[in-house]
Amino acid sequence: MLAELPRKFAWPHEDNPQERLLLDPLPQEDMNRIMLRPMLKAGPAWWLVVALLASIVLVCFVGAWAYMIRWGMGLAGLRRPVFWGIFIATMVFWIGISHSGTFVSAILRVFNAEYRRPITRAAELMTSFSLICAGMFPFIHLGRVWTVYYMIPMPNQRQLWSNFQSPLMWDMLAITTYLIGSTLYVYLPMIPDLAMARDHTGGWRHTLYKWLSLGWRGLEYEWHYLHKAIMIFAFAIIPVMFSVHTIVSWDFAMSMHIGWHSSIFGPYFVVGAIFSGVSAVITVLLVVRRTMRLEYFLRPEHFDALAKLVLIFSFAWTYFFFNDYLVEWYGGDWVGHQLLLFQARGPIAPLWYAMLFFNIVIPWLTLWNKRIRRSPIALFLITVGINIGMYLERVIIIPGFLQRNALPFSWGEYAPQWPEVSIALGTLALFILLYVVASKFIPLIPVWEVLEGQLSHSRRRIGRTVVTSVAELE
Amino acid sequence: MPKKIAIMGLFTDVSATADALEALRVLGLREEEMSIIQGVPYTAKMLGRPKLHEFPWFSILGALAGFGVALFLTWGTLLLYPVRVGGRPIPTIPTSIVIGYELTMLGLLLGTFLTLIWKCGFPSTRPQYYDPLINHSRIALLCDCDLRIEADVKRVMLERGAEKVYEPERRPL
Amino acid sequence: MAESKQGHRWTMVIDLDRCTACQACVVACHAENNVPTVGPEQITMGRAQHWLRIERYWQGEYPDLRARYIPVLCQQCQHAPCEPVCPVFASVHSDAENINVQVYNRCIGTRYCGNNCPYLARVFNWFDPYFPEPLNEQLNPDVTVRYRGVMEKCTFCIQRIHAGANQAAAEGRPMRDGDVVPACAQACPTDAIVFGDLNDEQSRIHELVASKRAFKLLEDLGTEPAVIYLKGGESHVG
Repeated sequence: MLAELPRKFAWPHEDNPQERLLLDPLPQEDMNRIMLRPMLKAGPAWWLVVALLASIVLVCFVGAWAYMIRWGMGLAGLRRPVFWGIFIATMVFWIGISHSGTFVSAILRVFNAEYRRPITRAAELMTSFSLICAGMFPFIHLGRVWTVYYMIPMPNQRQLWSNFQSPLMWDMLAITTYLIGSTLYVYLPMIPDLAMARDHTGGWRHTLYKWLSLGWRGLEYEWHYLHKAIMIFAFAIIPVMFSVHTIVSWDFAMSMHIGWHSSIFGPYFVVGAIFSGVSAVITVLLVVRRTMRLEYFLRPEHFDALAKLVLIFSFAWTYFFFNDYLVEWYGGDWVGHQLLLFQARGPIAPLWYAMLFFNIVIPWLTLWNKRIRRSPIALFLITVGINIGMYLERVIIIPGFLQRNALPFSWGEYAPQWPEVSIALGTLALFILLYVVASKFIPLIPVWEVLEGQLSHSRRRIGRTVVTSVAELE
Repeated sequence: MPKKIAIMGLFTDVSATADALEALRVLGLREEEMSIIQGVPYTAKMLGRPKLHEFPWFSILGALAGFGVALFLTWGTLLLYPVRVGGRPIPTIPTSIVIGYELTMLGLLLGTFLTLIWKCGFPSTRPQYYDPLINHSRIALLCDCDLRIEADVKRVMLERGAEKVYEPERRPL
Repeated sequence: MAESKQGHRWTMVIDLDRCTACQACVVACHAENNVPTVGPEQITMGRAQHWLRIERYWQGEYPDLRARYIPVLCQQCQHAPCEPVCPVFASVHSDAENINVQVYNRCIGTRYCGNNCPYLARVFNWFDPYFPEPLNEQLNPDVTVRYRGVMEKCTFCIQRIHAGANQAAAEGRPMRDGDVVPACAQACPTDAIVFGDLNDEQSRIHELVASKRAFKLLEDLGTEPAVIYLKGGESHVG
């Protein structure tokens, strides 16, 4: 049913105009074919990966959690004074990853960064799935998860409402808002592509896409309202994105605990989230590009641009980290100094130095170099390293900082136990599983946006050179 | 006997489509009687069509509704059922701002989405005039014209470069 | 609530000069409040479950080693940091008794209150409580036995406060000093722990609180604790 690809796409190293996606148009039907082809067949490799991930999710995530619900939170390594550990650290990590999509698809859209065109949807999907993974943890870490509905503000015969002064309630509303918002935001631009898929498929797929595309035809008023809605969403979801991770950071900043009670946590966490998220986008896109043969759409220029962003955010993260550190080091009290010693020389020191290595040393040494930015293997390793570093940052801040306080007799060591490791790995498997399954149903590249971009790009001569020219379409 | 008939012309180029639209206007067709179905969002300016202007009422209403809910949850519930925590006053303004902001944004986003759904009549499963070739670099010009000028309309479209002109059937999508 | 307890300000004074760190108060608290023992493995993990603990600090070098100790319990703060952070109002302030109240059957176990208490006074039930025979026969019927997943802490023996109030009401008189004696105060052999109503000008507490030796733990945090310590000669910490 589908013909072969019109040409072979390699990873070019030259900087030539053919390399730019938006200067290299293909007929619309060919682009749709490139995007649909991996969706319509599922080889044995795919099934194997899905089976493996599903079993990891079932055993390591669902199984371990069910066991822990039955026997108690004591199975985890938590103890007074470390009441929050790997579960909350992993939750914050996933919320950080969720900033990937919104940054790429909303902020880049608002700033008219044309290179965002093929990557917005793949990144936004990451947001939705990582929020689902993050959203599991407020349930997982509860002592009595069967009473979690007490948090829901609804009239009841106990005449009790929830405490909206608690940052955990803010969390609940913020994450819900962000999940709904970003799922709608990934869905809206997807409608025309779902309609295209509807037209090219039969059987159960056709029925699925028929319902998902809501009856989209492509009339002028449909495009007009879609465009308006996308613009409102793009502008509105940016402050929501900032507020979500700020609110998550306020879980810690609102407390009196040393190291947590810091007014810089809001922006520090947001910058860290974007840093971690954009790196994760690169990691995921490198895998997607290779496995789904989307080399036409995802070019070195995109990874180059994203890697530059990663470097900038590494600078920003270092700035906030150093701010937080220097203030405590210079003028902090005795407990604060104990906390700094604990990080630099205590049992958590290897994690602390590893974090600095992955977040600062590696990006600063590598990402300034264009060849490294355009090398898939190097980028993959660097971005995975960054996410390891950011995970370590959350582990240091959450169970790490809790190990020190004003009453030294009540200091405590923390070592994660098997349920924590298992459930954390289980959510990683869940994220990958959701993405792998979704890639078969959801067209990952917004072809109409790429076409719109190709419409606005042309080359023109100025003096002795030929430059790329971008028209303003609206 | 129906006075009007639907005619669809498939074009491969946006300039040709705009030319055809102009020619059809000369024939007497009004803007509402012509529609463009396209797989790529060529703008109204490119096609020579009047732009739609809408104020996002639903979005604003949604935002206000969200703010109202937040006000009730933070102030309403605490004034109805006061519980003292932390030696603080009942209720507290700074914490209410956080909830107010989040629910306002949620209301704004949901209102915007519902605007789209409502204005476009989604979800729609009725049979419609449509041609899947719009995903194959074609632009469809659908017009609802009087039977008397049917032949002229078809001629005009073909003259302006239509690849194919035909009378479409309403088909399930 | 049996009757109005308006205007009580329950306060505890711990005289560190008299405290010998004998731990009788710790044991009494366990007995009175059905606080389970957790077993040696859990203790090694750091999960000792005490509502009242004796903090011990070593000072000096061998052979001039000295132990300094201070009993630490829930300070029943007026500006309790554990209260605003509970999402379900399981940790609330009782305006009538001026203490912090933990509502076990409301607690969903987020443990935010535990993180936010600067005195680390709150403990969590990591597992179901286990009272090996015949300890289960010693459980106090006036106090709930907490299930796994809920936070708990010293309540100033609120069951004894209520019992004292009921007794006073039955006798048709206002409460007086000595009506309420928490388990720790009752067990202390040196009378280091004194409990009473600060609003009652006739109480022992009223006089002790004005002592020149009085201090509050981590006072600069602004939590306004209802537990006041009296500095002791050899054993003072703080």
